Amino acid sequence: MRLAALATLVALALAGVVTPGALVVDAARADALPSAQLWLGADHLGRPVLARLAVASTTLFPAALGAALICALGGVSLGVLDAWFGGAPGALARIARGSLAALPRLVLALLLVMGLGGSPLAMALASGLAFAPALADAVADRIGELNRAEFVVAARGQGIPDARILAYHLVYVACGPAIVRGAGAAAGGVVVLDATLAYLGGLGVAEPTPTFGNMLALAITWGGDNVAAWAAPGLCVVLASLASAWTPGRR
Amino acid sequence: MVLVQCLLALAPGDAIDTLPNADELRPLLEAEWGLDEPLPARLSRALGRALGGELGHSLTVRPGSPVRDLLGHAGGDSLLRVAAAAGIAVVLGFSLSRHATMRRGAELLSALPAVVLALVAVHGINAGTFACVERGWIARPAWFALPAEDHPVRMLLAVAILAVSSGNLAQVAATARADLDALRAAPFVEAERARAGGVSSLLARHLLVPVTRALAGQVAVLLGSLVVVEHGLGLGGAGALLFHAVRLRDWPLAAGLAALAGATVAAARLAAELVEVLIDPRARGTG
Repeated sequence: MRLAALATLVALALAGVVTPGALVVDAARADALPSAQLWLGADHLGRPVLARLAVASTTLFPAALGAALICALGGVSLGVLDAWFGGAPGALARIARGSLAALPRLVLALLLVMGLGGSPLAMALASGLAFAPALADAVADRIGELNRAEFVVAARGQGIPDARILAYHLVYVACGPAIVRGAGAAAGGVVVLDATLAYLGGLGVAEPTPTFGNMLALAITWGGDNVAAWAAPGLCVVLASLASAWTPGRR
Repeated sequence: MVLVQCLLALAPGDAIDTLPNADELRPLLEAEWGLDEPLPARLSRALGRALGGELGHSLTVRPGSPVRDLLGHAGGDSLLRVAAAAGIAVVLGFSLSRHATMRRGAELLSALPAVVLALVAVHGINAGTFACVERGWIARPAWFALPAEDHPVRMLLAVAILAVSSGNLAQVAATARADLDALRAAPFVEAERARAGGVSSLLARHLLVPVTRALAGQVAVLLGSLVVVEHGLGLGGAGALLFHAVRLRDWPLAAGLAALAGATVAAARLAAELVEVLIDPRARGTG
């Protein structure tokens, strides 16, 4: 189901690259119901819902990518500092990890939005930083567990540099699935965050740029007869939250 | 507190911009709030005051009111909601852990973020009630369309959404299930069973440790969902206050609320560790 959710979103995103007319306002077809010409009908301004949905799935792509990178870099750095280096850097990493983990994700996002505005950058930072502590925990546990494992001792004995043992054997091979899982959760978190901020009153990405969140919030605010105008973006938010929990090799 | 002060320095505008007579008041308020000071000076001043219990005054949401008083009023209600939601999640999670089909359904429902559940609940109930009232099937209920009132129905709905959404219920159910299997096969449970003693209370007592730990891990999520739920259902509380503080860029109030959230998460983790120490002798290091 999670893979199907991810595939649907990717297909929508690919369609979004080549979809015209997502921003064209046409009062004549305002609130149009689904038909052969408009598969998901139109919103209150007559803009086609399906085309906007396709464009919306690409709008947050840079933010989702940024969140995944911030989470992966932040989580791995904090975990490695703690479990591999230890000492004062490890203690500082533990304090940073604990402080970030203590701040609820949405509270962190709201503070960032207050400072930086409802930009994709604020959402990437909020989602990336919010998911980084959990990844740091996983990385620190795994490295701590394998630090004295036989294969690591053997690799040291063969003269393989510590940097390579850390980067390849411990981080890339042993922590790879956890990193993919954490980064995926952070990427999906951007979509849920945008929907939440839009629901809270237009704090997310501003119109007319479509996102699942602002499409959903706008359709609910304006009402209208076309159920697909809010049901379709709502379903996409649900799909994104399901897809973000998907990890290769994990059923 | 440090994060908020750094963001305040990075922000393109400031709290004074949101005031109607900003230009006139700017020199006075800059000096009073320390907005003209460099970041390190502002940071040390804010931290020193926070450590002394002085969180400053609200700038724009309730101008002039001490943040500490506002947190006291709003925080109590919200923490009660979070505690009630955690209690419901534990009771439901324990019950669902015994039924595989129901557990999978609950996991799917629980995978939904709070915003989706709040939207469905608020708009579904509002639209349904409105349709019934309009057709004359029922009289208008007291809780309907009265956004300023903290009616019990709204509060129950808020607690239910908090308990179920964002993985809370699934987390408790999954933890209870996994640990129940391990506990049933544990030597001390086998020994109790051999002595023909009741194992139910023993299992419940030992399950409390992993479940409390799982819930403590979810407190941050619960507090985040609180903002959505209180805003969506028109309830007063710390979540709704944070939303207004962000809208009106009330930095001291937002910083105070963020600090309260952080302190609550830390307190929940400490409580989980205390429960473990009380219940599990191995955690006390006494063997």
